[in-house]
Amino acid sequence: MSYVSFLKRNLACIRLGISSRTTYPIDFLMAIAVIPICYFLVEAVFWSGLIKASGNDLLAGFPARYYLGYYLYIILQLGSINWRFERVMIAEINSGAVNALLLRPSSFFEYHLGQLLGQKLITALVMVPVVSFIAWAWDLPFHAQRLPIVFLMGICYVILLFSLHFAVASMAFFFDNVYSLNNSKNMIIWILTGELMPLDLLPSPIREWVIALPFSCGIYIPAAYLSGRIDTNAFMKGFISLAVGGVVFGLLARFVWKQGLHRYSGTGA
Amino acid sequence: MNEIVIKTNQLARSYQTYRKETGLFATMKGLFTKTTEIKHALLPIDLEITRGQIVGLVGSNGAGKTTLLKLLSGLIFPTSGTATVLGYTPWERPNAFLKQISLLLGQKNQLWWDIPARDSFQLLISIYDLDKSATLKRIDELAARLDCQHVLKMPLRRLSLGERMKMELIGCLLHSPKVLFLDEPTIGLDVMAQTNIRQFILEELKGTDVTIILTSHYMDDIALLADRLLLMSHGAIAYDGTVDHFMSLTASTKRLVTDFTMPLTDELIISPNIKIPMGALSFDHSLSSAELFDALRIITSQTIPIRDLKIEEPDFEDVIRIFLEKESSLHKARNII
Repeated sequence: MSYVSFLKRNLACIRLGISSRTTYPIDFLMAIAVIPICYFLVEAVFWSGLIKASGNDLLAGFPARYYLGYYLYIILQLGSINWRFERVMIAEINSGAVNALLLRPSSFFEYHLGQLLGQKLITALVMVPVVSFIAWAWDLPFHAQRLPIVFLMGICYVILLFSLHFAVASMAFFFDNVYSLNNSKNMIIWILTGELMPLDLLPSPIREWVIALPFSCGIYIPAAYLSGRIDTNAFMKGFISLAVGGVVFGLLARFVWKQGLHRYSGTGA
Repeated sequence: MNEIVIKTNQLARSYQTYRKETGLFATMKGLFTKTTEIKHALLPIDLEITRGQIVGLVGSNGAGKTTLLKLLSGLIFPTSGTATVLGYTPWERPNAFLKQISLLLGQKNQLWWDIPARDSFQLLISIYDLDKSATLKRIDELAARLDCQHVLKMPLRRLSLGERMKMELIGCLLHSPKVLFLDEPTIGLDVMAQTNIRQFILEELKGTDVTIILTSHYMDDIALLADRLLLMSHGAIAYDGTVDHFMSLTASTKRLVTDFTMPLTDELIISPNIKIPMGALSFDHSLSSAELFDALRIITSQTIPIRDLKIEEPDFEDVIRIFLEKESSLHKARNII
């Protein structure tokens, strides 16, 4: 196998992700600016209200600005880890649009992963200055020097999460409709990543278990690290769970995809 | 040179499908139990196709032609049997194989919907690892041949169906495939666009080393382009030979078209199977020589004046239809026995 060819076509997929993400500028701006900022404002109102109602200045040892910081960095993550891709993959398998991709010298996995990474790249480039500005303007805790390593974790997490999405999307080869299964998976991830609430608010020992899972590297660990909730040692442990999870989900994705292809009837052709 | 590029041995494919009765009760019951049945889309077939041949794959819906195409292109796995295309097992889909084939689906876009075709081609250059400058030159040449240079930089979604199909065709040919699978390349196109595409394939690909498997419901595509005709019926090959030979098989059949000035007052019986019902204003049927003689005698001897009467040689489409009708009735008879 030529690694140059591999690199070329994956870079092409990344370019495709960037160009398809930016083809519709208004949609792009809504997705990377308006929706995340609205999301942040909703969370800001909720957590400020919650802390005020509790009658204390602190919640679980942290002041309100730490929660605002946490949710500010979540929007940085969410902008790139969107849930659109597995729906696209499911639709492509259901409609037979996958046929064209199956007959090109590029795998379905790398084709979509490349695009997802391309979208993450362009989204992160645009959103980092926006998030930095809000953090500065609101005086939120922000460790800017940690951004590069957080970004690296984001890429590793995208690959892991994509493998899981890919495995679930490949179930479309077996069942006519897997959207409910997909939604169930997303609900579980929503809780396990820490998007619903910072994972350190969970009771022990559930907290330790959930943080040890690789999903916490999607939101909780990077957001907590950037806002100063956790230290470097706790952050680096996330890479270990990411590596283990990546192998497990990667093998799962490969298995389901291979089995699915044997059952595939070439829909739509 | 008669090098065999496609070879199948007892290649077959069956599907498991679900049957669901109508009604709410059946729907609720279907939550717990499902009735499955096996559909044999392709019965075991043996086939050899040589380099440079253009093979027209014809048959009614569900005859198995698309299943055969999907198997040979590597989209699906067979239930049994083997096949090699360019020396590869297609459904293993190694990159070396995929770089030598192309599949054009007339009913599906394969280029990217949101970006201009030229950007899609750039992507294909990377995916197929092609020489960039040579391929860009080839794109311009192909676009000039298809008279569509002006739409290369427009998003695919803005193009007409005919323009999109031209772009798809260019995309298919960029990597100079050795085997080309064309599934309904002219479907839905207007007559001009159909002719353009047909003419392009004829001039650009016929007589070259490129082996083409072509399915189409437009018999003009097959009659003009195909060196060899594979007629499929009920999952099996019902005819395998040249178009000319196929036409000669049914040359004794002629089409009789008659218009009456007013509705017939009586039923006319041409043969036990062919009748013109009372009240009919016209009659249009393909008939054997003996039937034609009887039909002319009966029609001209009845009392209603005839407005028009024509005897036509059957065209390719008629012959296919007649052949498939016969095949279908034979198949039904076999199933009853």
